[in-house]
Amino acid sequence: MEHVIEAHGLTKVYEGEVAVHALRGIDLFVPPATFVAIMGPSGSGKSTLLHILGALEPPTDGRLLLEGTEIGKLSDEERTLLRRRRIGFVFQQFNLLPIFTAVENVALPLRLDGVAESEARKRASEALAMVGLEHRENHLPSKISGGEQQRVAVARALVTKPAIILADEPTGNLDSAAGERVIAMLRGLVDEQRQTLVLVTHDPAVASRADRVIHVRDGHIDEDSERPEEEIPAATGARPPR
Amino acid sequence: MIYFRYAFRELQRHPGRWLISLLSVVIAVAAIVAVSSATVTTRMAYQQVFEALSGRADLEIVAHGGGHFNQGIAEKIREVPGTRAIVPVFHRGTIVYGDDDKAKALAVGFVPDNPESLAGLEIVEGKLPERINEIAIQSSLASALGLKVGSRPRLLTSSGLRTFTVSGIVEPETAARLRQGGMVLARLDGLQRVFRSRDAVDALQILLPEEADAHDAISSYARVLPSELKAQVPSSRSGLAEETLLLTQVSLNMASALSFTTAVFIVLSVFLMSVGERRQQLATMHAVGATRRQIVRMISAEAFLMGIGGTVFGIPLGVYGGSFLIRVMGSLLQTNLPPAPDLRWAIGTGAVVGPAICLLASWFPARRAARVSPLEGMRPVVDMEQRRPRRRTTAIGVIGLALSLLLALGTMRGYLPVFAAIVALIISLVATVLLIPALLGPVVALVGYPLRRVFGLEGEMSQRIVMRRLTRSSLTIGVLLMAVSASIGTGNAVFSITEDVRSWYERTITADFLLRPMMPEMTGEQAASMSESFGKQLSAMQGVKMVDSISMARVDAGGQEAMLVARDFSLYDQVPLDLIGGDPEVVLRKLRDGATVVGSVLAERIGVEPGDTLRIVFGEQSHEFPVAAIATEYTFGGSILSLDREVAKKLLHVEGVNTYLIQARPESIVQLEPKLAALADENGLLLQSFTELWRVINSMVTGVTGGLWVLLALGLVVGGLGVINTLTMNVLEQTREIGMLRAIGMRRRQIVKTVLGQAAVLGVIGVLAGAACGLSLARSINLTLGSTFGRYVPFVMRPEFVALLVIAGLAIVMLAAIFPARRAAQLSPIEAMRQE
Repeated sequence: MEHVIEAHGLTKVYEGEVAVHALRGIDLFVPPATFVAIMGPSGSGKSTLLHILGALEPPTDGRLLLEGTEIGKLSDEERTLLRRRRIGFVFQQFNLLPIFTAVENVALPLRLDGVAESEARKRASEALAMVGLEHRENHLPSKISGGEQQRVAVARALVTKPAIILADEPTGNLDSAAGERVIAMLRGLVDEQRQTLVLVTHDPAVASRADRVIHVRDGHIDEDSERPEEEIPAATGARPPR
Repeated sequence: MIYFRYAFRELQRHPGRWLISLLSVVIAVAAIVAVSSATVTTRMAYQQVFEALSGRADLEIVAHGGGHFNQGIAEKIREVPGTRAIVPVFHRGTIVYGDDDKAKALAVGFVPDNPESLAGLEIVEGKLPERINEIAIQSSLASALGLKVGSRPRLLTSSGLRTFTVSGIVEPETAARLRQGGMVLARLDGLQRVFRSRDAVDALQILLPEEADAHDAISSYARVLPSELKAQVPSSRSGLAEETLLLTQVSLNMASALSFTTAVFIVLSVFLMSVGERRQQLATMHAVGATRRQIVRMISAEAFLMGIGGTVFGIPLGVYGGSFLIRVMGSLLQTNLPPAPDLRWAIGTGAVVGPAICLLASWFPARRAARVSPLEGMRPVVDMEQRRPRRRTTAIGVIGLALSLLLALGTMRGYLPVFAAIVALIISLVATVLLIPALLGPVVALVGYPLRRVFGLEGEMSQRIVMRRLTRSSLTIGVLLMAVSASIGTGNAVFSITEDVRSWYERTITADFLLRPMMPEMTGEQAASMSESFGKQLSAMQGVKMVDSISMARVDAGGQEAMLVARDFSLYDQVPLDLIGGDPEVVLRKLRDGATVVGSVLAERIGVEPGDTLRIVFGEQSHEFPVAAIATEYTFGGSILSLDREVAKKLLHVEGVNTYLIQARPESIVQLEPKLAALADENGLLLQSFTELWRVINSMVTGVTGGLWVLLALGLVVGGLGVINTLTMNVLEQTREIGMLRAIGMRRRQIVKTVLGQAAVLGVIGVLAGAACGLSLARSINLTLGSTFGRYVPFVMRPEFVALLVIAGLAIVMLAAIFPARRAAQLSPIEAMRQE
């Protein structure tokens, strides 16, 4: 398998009084262990692209293969299972369940998949330790800072050891120090865990940490630039798993 | 006007939710209108009868217990200073026979040269009777029978059918026109003669000067009266009839109080949810300049609109229900009540109750809405609800529970009127609901354990979501608890009573036919008596196995009015009474030897037990009787004494026969009936067959239980709608979270399970707690009524009924959850996460 993500002519049209062409034929190929940053102005279609890559919504036209599996041929149920096991999500709004503690939120994807509670909790604790939050395990989301909440969300995204991590403006609601810490952590996942990260951002500083930066404009890929490895700042902040 | 426009838009936005509240208000308004119109009608009917009969007398002289006495005492009374006028009272039930038709009537004696004896009556045609064989007849009765001045109808009297000439038509000045029958006016001495009560009167009415004090007068009359007579204020006579009414009215009022409270809770929960949901909107309004008072007005306008809606639909429903209740009460009291209830009263009550429920229930949510800070509108609603129960709420709950316990105890001990029990009932329910937030944590943990076992992670999530919305969950559980406990409480009480009525009839009605001059008067006035020789004639008929002659008399037993029922106990192998304890054979023997059996209500009131003695006074006669046993009685409010007829005749001089009970040989029932019917017709009597009575009782019981089932079903539906409301709100609020869960791989099925799990937690707690509260409610209704009426209706715990309600309750809750659960499962993850 050469590419983790393989997209051919992805098109997305939102029907309505006026049809909105969010994506107009996107071709994208991402090899394993790559950090791709998607940039572009508001309404350019970058979030839509991310949602389609995450099997959250189907494209109107085009083909998408994730780890060689053709997504268009999957049922809703199969797509759900694929998301659960092979994709990790990090959202701008963190989207943690307020009713669950940090460790319970992280354990959630495992428990949804039928992993026994004690085992799920153990792996969730390890994931929280990776993001440096072992001391916050039993806190409710409302009792920890925004930066910490986002790190919990990252831990949740990586607890199933997915092949792909999709992050939608993960630093958008964080101050620069907390944002820097989260990005360093994500970079570490790519370098050390060999996971593929696709990240949507407005922030050039965040994009500067990526292996490849894609500019989207009006539903097209405007620019696709790969950066030589030596230009990319090294990962800091993430610890190797115990 | 802006308030109403805003309110109207809000109602339009969530039609389903407001429909639920509207339905609960409609039910409450209908219940209250129905009960109050039935109660008012019955009360008015009684009052009219008493006004018509006791006229405007200030005092009356009656025999202890109400028997008749010699009118010669009037001479002595006249000598008491301050006596303005004396009016002799002589009333007998009769049947008037026109040419083709007959009708029940009350024969009223008057004294031609005493103008006061005509008070309240006015002659509209012809003249007053002058000769003893003349009568004046009430206009409605005259037209019903086609009688005119000069007609010659026959009247059923103690000396058989007698012919009279109509000398005139009278009309009561008051609206005392009961369908029960009209009034026939005849000369006192003439009536006394045909009813074989020469010189006897039922009472002497006394008119005092304007300035006279009734209580002073009573003591001055007491000095000249013989011991068997007493002076009293006329209204006290209604006592017997009032008792009969009270039981029914208390139960009906309890039912309407429950529906009122339930409606307040449903409306309260809907408003709290609605205000919670509109927090940002309200904050924005506040920010752009709406004052707190304006916000309160806006919410109140919504409540008012809903109240009006509830009233508009509730009143017609209530009026219809009221006419049904009046029919049921009529058959309970064995009389015809006027069919048209006073609609003004019903409409007035409904018009107040509907808006009152809504305004009362919206008061707290409106205040909460007014306190929203303008800044809150600008930030996302993170966690607006308190997770810990408020101490004040818990404290009020505990105090309420204690207070209701005190009230209930007070009623049970007889220190408080029975209506205090209704107040206690409402307070206890409200208090229980207030305690829910404090108890919810441990209870949810308990219920959640099996749920987690079955549903796993989804069960755990459901449990946490329920706990996160403490107020909303508590209110939903409260509504379910109310609906279920009210259903089980009133249901069980109704079943206990109907069961009791059935078993009472089964044991006491031993005859196949009843023959009597007329239906028993609702006032307990003496019915015309039949001759004893008639009984012999009946016994001689072919196919008759046994004839029991019953004499009835109003007596005084231990200072209380009671109805004495004297019958031939020597005829029976088994005592024909519904005894409470005691060996039936021994009791039967004692009855034949001259002991009495006392009705439970009377026994409780005068405090007698088997083994005591009881003084019974009838007219001038008085005697002490040993009490053989206590028996359940329903007629005459349970104030009944049984004696052997021979004993009553010998010791109390109770004469005449009011009812013949005829037992037929089983093989000849069919042949006997037409013969008896012909005989009854010939003698102007009323024949009732046992099967006919059974039919009446059964249709009554069926009517009551049928109505009950409809109410129960409505109650559960309202509870179910409350669950839909809460879960829909929970789902709406969790839209983003559900979207995220779908994104990270939660299946639609798992989402459905999470929502169903919430319903299961709410349902199990609400329904089971409701069943427990309902059972204790049923028990306390039973105890309260029992101690007040002296009749301990055996408590029938119907496990199959409780189980049915619990299963139906849970089924409705789970059904109600399906809609919000599907809605949640169908959310698209992207759309859901876009929601703010």
